[in-house]
Amino acid sequence: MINRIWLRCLWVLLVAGALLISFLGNVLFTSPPANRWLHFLVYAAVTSIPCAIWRTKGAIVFSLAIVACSVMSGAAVAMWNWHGVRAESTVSDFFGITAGVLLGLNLRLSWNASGKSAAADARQKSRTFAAIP
Amino acid sequence: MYALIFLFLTSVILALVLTPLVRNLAWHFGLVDQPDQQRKIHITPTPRVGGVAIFASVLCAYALLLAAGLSSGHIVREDLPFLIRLAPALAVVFAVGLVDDIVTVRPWIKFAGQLAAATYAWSCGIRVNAFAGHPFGAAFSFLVTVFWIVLCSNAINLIDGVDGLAVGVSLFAALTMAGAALLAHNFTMAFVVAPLAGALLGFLRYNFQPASVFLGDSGSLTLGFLFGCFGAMWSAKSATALGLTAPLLVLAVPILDVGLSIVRRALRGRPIFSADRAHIHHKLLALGLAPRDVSLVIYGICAIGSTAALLMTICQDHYRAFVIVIVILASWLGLGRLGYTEFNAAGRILFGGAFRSALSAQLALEQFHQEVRGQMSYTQCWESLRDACPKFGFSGAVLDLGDGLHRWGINAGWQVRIDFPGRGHISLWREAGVGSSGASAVLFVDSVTRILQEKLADGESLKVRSGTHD
Repeated sequence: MINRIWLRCLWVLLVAGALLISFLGNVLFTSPPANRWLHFLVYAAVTSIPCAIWRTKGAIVFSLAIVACSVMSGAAVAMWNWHGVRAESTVSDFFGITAGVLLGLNLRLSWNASGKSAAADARQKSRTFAAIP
Repeated sequence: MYALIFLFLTSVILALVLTPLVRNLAWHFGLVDQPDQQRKIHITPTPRVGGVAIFASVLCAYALLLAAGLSSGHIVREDLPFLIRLAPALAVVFAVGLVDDIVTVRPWIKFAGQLAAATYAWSCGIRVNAFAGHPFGAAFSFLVTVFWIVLCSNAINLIDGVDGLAVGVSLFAALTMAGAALLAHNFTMAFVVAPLAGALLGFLRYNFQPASVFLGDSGSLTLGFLFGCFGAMWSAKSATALGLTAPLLVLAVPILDVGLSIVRRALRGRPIFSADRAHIHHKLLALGLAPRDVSLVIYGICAIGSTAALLMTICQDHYRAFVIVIVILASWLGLGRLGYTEFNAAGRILFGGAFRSALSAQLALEQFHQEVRGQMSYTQCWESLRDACPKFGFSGAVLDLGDGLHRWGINAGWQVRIDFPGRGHISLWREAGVGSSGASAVLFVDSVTRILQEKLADGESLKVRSGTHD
């Protein structure tokens, strides 16, 4: 069963992976398209978890700030030692973050809707049982 | 460039001048839309042939450009034969719309007119020849082009439900197409779209909330038809894998709305052409937004779609997939917020376990049928019935058909009792609050009734068999 603590651990692992890819992506993955998609998917995953699951706005903003720091550090490395492919990866990172935010909000919305309908079902059930003498 | 600015500004001024004239003429001839507080939510009767003013402005702007003798006039002169060839198709769509504005026309007649015009446009060279870099054959190109143009015509027509909405959406589409044409150095398309954008801007002055004149079907169908043709031209001119994706993004809101309407009506089993109050703008109104706010919200979405389309035109090939993914996610979020019950129910059936539950209930019903088929004794029937009951949410059963009372399970909650006059009855009990297998329970009851009626009709032989068996 995946609970909140497991998801936090997964998120920390993903952020660590994102940082690693930001700094060493070009060393680890020589094919530029694979690198772009990897950046996109990793940042989408890293952003979608807080947007979908974290409860407080503060936690979400804090998580997104860490993700933004990761992207900026990657961009800073690219600027420090100019590398065209790394600059392209930064664009993929931003697309990934946007996709992650949207995906997270979609998941949050659908889970909230199913939670509400389950609660309504439970209320209906208790009301029906209460009516039986 | 000066000629483009000239065309744009001239058509703005002409639309500002001609629209009140057309409005007054419409009042004079009684061509007004009466409010009905059902689908027509405006308060006062409003003239509805505004499309005439828009297209008159565009034609006059071209005439003035040619008369002014600007150096860029030669581009218009060069493309004039093509535009003249396309004119009959435009005339058909405009005439069908105008007739609908004057005397209501049946939906299939409008549809036939659009099909004829789209076919003619294809024969004039307006063709979608490829999608995402994959070229089509002639037959498939014909089908895709006609489908695309008819889709666009209906999309703009259907979204014309709130003051200023269809005109504003069309204005965004026209401006984006003009921008994309300039970026791609496609001056022919820029010269075609620029005066239309100007005329729409001028017309919006009178059409925005509270509207003093409506676009009418003459305007909305012709605008949609034109955007279909422009989209096909845009896709033909883009040498890369862009294809129809950018035009789709520009017209995302109206096309999404028409797509949703078709799927919604299909899910509800209603005719596709039937009217309802569940379009995107109706949903936004139901959420409590004022008509002006609805228009502004949809303008905002169109602005995002236009930006995405321009991004796709500017961006290198490898970022286009990301833009498409983001647009899909944003559309999903938007539709989730609108709360369409049809899609929520379909989603629950497909992904929420309801489909699996219905399938297993259907299989259980089939198994029950197979078991009780043929010459079976009442006792054997009763045993099969008893085994099948829990699969359909029934917790107890009572069978009394003259050969003794059979009882099983918990006889509490609510019951379904079926009487067989002069022979006995069967009662199926269900505990209150059991949520699952609701629909299949009804099928089960229906099936049990039918089977027992058949058995009772053949009762004498069954009694003998029952006797020998027991």
